[in-house]
Formats: sequence, structure tokens, C-alpha cells
Amino acid sequence: MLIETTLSGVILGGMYALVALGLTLQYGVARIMNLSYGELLIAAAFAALWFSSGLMVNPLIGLLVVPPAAFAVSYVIYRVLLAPLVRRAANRDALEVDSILATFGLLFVIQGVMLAAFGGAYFSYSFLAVPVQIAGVTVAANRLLALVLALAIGLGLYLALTRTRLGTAVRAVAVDPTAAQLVAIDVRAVAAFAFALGGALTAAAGVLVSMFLTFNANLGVVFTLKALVVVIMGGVGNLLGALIAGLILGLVENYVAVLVDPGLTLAATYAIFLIVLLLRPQGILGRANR
Amino acid sequence: MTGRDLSLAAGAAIAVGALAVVPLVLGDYGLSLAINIASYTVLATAWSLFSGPTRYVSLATVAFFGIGAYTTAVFAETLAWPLVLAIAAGVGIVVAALVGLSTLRLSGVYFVVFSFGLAELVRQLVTWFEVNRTRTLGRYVFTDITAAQIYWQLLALAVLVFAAGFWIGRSRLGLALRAIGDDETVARHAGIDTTRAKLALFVLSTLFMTLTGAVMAPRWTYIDPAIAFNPVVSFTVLIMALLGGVHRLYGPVLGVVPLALLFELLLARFPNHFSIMVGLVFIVIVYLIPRGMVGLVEDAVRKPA
Amino acid sequence: MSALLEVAGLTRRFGGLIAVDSLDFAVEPGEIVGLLGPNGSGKTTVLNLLSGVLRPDAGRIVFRGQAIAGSPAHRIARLGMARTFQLVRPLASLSCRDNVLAGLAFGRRNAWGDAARAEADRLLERVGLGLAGDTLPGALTYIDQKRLELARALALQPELLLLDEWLAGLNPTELDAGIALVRGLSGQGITILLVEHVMDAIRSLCRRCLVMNTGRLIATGSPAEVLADPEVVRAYLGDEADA
Repeated sequence: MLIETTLSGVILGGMYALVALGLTLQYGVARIMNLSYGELLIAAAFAALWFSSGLMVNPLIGLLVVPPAAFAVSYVIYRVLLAPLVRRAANRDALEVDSILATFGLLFVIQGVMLAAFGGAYFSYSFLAVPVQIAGVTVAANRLLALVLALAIGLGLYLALTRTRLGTAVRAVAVDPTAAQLVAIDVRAVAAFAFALGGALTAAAGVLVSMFLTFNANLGVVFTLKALVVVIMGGVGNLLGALIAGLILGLVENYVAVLVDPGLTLAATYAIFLIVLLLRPQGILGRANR
Repeated sequence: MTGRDLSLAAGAAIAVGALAVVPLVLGDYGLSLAINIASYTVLATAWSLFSGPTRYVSLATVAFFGIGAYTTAVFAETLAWPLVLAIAAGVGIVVAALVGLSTLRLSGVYFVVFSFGLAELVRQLVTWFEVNRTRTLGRYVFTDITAAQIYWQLLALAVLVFAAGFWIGRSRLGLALRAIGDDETVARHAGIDTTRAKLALFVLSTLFMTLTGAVMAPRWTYIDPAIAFNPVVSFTVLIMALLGGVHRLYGPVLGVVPLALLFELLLARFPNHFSIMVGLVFIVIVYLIPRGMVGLVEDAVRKPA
Repeated sequence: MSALLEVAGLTRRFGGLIAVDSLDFAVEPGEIVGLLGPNGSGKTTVLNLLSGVLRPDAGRIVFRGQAIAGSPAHRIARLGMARTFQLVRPLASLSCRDNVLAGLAFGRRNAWGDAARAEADRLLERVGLGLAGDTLPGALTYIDQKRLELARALALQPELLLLDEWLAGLNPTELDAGIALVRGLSGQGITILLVEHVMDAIRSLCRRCLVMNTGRLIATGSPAEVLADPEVVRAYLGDEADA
């Protein structure tokens, strides 16, 4: 049972890490603290549901269509809704507060649209819901596939950020926007791109999550919360940190749910979050500021 | 006391007197609207008492409101009313102190994230406790408190929260908080124990939220964690305070009254699209009125000169 | 006579970089000590460690007989150590008087009310801002904002004043006035540790200087002595100066 718990904890943690990747780009690079993050994820899950149950096609096709659409939507949101706030903000703190407020409003708009369309009922669809044996432990095939795809996406992002010109620009802006400007990087364009890419990753996570999770229109907040906790725990803008934090969170939640009480998982999440913040305010892999 | 203080006190006394007769004049519908406005006035003013000077955006209002409401649901039947309020205040203070001690050392963004989830956390813990210990989810609130009595209690809370705000504005604590809001590092170097100042204010601010929840609970006859810890309350308080303006004591009220009326209208007209409407209203406020109604008022006063 | 400030083995790292490397020095009561060194040598980090902005990774700081390494900044301030910042940091929404009042109300004076306000005005006058009590700091010139910071630091009634490039960016007339002001403070019995690049000021104010390079103390002595030290010359001008 311990192995089983650990394995499902790793799968959950991998998903959390993927869910957090998009946010770490949006917050770490574009400096937008996006509270409507989880709503986009759930919207993507509904889109995948539509592919699977409405169009009767493989939801993996959704993985090819939904993230690019989310990229476009996020890009427009950044340009129309958030860029004015970036221009208006006197400093980073002001932008953080403004973006929190604006995306908080956005949260209610997106959630309201989904509630109007789907109501508060829970949805799920059946895809690859067959058991697979690994090392003597039974796992659902859809969860395993989701984890593998999540790792592939995470690795792809890592390579894109470290091996390409645009990726280098994105990392430069994450470290120091002012200095990035000095080496002729168009910081605003990079920020818009990073925000949109973050949106695309969120949507990918939404599609993957929808393959094995029952969801409803109100669930976005939970994902936003988990993503925020993972991003901050891992160190803002740090992909490896997000992976480690996601795994810690997934494992602890699973152990608490199995060994203690399923009703206390959120309390466990918060306890770890606080412990990490009090011991290492900059996050597990974050750098101390001078 | 200066002459200006005296006339301010006299004006406030007249206003409170006038507001106190409202339940005698209005019908049921009017009274329920007045209760709504009064409760949000206390909540939004208490919110900006802490969040205005410190610039910590708290999304935890309903966590404390819900704690108050739940305390009433648990004890109202068996204990005397003042005792119920005292217990609610005590629980609220302990929770606020714990949350404050662990989060107020952190930077503002982390506080936002934590407060964002605090209501959800408390809701889950209450649910867990109720399911595992008392084996019931949901409680009936039986009291003989009338709507008019609820209104008067809220009015008393409003007077207290304004008095507290007025006093803080002139005390050392107020100076400390404004310094912290400007530059926390400098504030510390001026000898200000910033954690303690923020904690004191956070506890005071949430105390009013807890009491509002306790006073409001008899309005519902049935209460469960989803009702008591509804995140829309935190959101509504935040947007009302922002629309009003958080840097003046009278600011939040200017946001509470128009928005309470607007939401009433929206809820009646578009019950299914309420949250979309509220979200849009919020975005409009953030973009077009970043300094709140207070900013508009002050600009209007300044310009004609 | 025992030292007012004693630092032993003070060390602070940022990631792999050692910003301050096992520093030892002492400041005697009444001294004006200059802390010199090229940019990035760790001077401001030392001030941040002393005043409690940063926690040291290792080492002892003893101020007025009390170990203060790692103490919170407000406690150090109340113990009688005040500082100014390299880039001025006035409290922007507070009037100049309230800026100073903050130091009076929470520092060792623990003063409040009309008496404290009068004292704040007196301190503003002391630094040459007698008429600015009701002004917001944003309306002041850069030099006046520096004066305001000094008044706020003095409100703590410090025994030790840390000045972080307080004389930088002044024109010759202002510099003379600034030097006179610092000397006057010293005459009142305030001990001063100043980080400074303006050599004229160092020469005329300090009897003793500490020179840092890459986190380490490389020379101590009178201004003339340390400026003649070959290692100091090398630190400022690079290795080519050897030839």
C-alpha cells in the first residue's frame, strides 16, 4: 500500500508541477499574479470534454487544439487587459496588487460564464480508464499517460527555455527586466509571450487533468491555489523548483489522505507551504535577493 | 479636543441617531437592504483599516465572518447572547493571531496567496470536524433576535469600527502603519516593530469581521460550511472598499452603498449571470477608478478652486 | 575604554558569492571612521548586517556590550544605532515632520504629542530644513531629502550613526556644509561610521579608515596611510598599477 500511495503521489505531484509551470511563467516573467489561472485550466478541461463527448474524438486531439487557442486568448488578455496596468504601475509591488485585483475580477467573469453554460454539476468522461500494472502496483492508464505527457511537456519547455534565443530572452526578463532591456530585449513583447505561453501550458494541464479527474465550474480556485503554493514554494520562476515542490505537495497530500484523513489534505498543503516560507522565504530553489 | 473634533462628534451623533430610527420607518424589504448595507459597511471599513495602510490585500474576510457565524450557530441556543459574542470574538482573535504571526512576516504577495486560501482551509477544517465529531453537516440557528435588533447591533459595530479607525489615525500605531505602508525597511530602522504593529491591526480588523458574522448568523435559519464561508463575501468586501477608497476612514462607505444597491438590482434582474456582472463591475473599477470614490471626491474638491 | 562597536569574524554569502568575508574591526566611542573600498567590495552589505537588514552567516557583532548579530532592525535601532540609505528612502506619504516623528515615537526617545512635534521641528532645523515640517518629501530637492534622512536618523538619539554615501552627489558648497554638519554631530558625542567615496570628506573628517576589497579588510589607518598602501591602490586601479 505504501508503494501504491507513493506512486499515485508522484503522479499527482507531476500534475501539480505541470499545473504550476504556466503560473511560474506568468508570474516569474510577466510579473502578473494571475488569480484567474485555475479558471482557464477548467475551461480547457471543459473543451477536452467537448472533444471527447461532443465530437466523439480522442481527447488527445484536444491537446493539439486547445493550448494554441489558450495561447491566443491569453495573449489578447495580456495585451488588452493587463498591458495598461503594466504601463500604469509605478513599481513591481503596484503591478502585483493591480494584477491581483484585475485577474480576481476576471476569475468571476470566466467562472460565471462556465456556471451559466454548465451549471454547478460535476463532469467527467471515460478515456483509457483501464488498469495497468507497474512494479506490482495497479494504476489507471489515463493517469499514467497524463504523467508521461506532463513530463514531456515540462522537458520540452525546459529545452525551449535553455536552448533557444527566445527562451534565453524569457529567462533574462525573469531575472532582471531592467538589465534585459539594456541588452536590447523587448521586455514587453517577451512578457506578453511568456504570459500567453503560460496560458497554453495551463490549458495543456487542463486537458490532461480532465482525462482522469471529475471537475465542475467551481473547481478553478483550488487549482489556482495549488499552483500558487507550488510556484512560491519552488522559488518564483524556477522550473526545477516547481517540479520538486509539486512532487512534495503530491506526496504529502496522498500520504495524509491515506494515512490520516482525506479531509485534512488542504490543511497539510498549508502546513508545508508555511513551513517552507518561514524557513526559506525565497522558495526551495529561489535565490536570495541582496 | 479641538473645536473641529467637537463638531465632528456632534455630526456623528446626529447621523447615528438618524440611522437608529431606520428600522422603525422602513418595511421588511427596506430593513433587509439596510442590514445588508450596515454589515458591508462594517466589513469594508474593517478591511481597509488593515489593508489600507499596510497594502496587504486580504482575501480572508469570509474566513473570519464565517467563524463568527458558525460560533453563533453552535452556541446561540444554549448560551446568553453576550456570551456568544464573547466566544466568537475570542475564537476570531486566536485564529487571527495564529494566521498573523505566521504570515505577516512574509512579503505582501505571499500574504495574498495565504489569505486567498484561508477561507477554504477553515471551511474544510470545520467540515471535517462536523462530519467526524458531531456527525452533522449543517445546523439550524434558533434565536429570538429580530431583524431590527440585528440592524442595531450592526450599527453599534459600525460606530465602534469608525471610532477605532479615528483613534488609530491619531495614535502612534497609525503613524507606524503609514510608515510601514511607505517603506517597511525604513520603518524598522526608525525603531518600529513592524510585525507587532501589523499583527495588532490585523487582529483588530478581523475582530470586527468575526463579530459581524456572529451578529448576522440569525438572519439565516440554516447554516452549513458552504453558506458561512462563501468566498463571494471576501470578494464583495474587497471591491466595495476599493471602489470607496481605502486611504480615508469614510472611503469604504462610499463604495458600499452604491454597490450594495447595484448588486441587489443585478441579483434580481440577472440571477444566473450575477457573477459575470460582478466580475465586470470589478474590472471596470480597477481600471477606471483606481483611487476610488475618495479620489474622485478629492479631485472634484481640489479642481474648482 | 571598551569599544562601542566590535565586529569579529563577520561573514555573509549570497549564493556562491562571499560578500563579506570574516571581517574584524572595532569602533571606539567618539570616533569618525571611514569605510572605503571600490564598488562591490561589500561596504553596504556591512552596514546592512550591522543595522539588521541582513542576518550574518557567521560572526559576532557587539554594540554597547550587547550581541546584536541577527537581531531585528527595530531592536538595533532602539539600542542606539541609526543609519541613512545610499539611495534616499524618505517615507513618501508622510510630511517631513512625521518622517522625523516616526523616529522619535518608536526610538529611544519614546516621545509623542506636542512635545515630540516640537522636537521634530527642532531636528529639522538642525539639518537645515526648518521650514519644511509640513512639506511632503517628494517636494524636496535630492540634497534636502538627504538632510531629512539624517534628521530621521538623529531622532533615534543614536550613539552610533551609519552614513551610507551621505555626502555623495553634493556640489562643493553643499559638501562643505555637509562636512560641517557631520563634524558638528561628532562634536555632540555621536560616533560615526561612514561609507564614502568623496575623498575630500574622508580626509577632513576621519582620523581612521577601514578599506575593504572583495569582502575583506585590506588596510586600516589614517586616510593618508591607507591611500598610500599598495594593496589599496591595486584594489582601486587593478593589477596594471603594479607595473
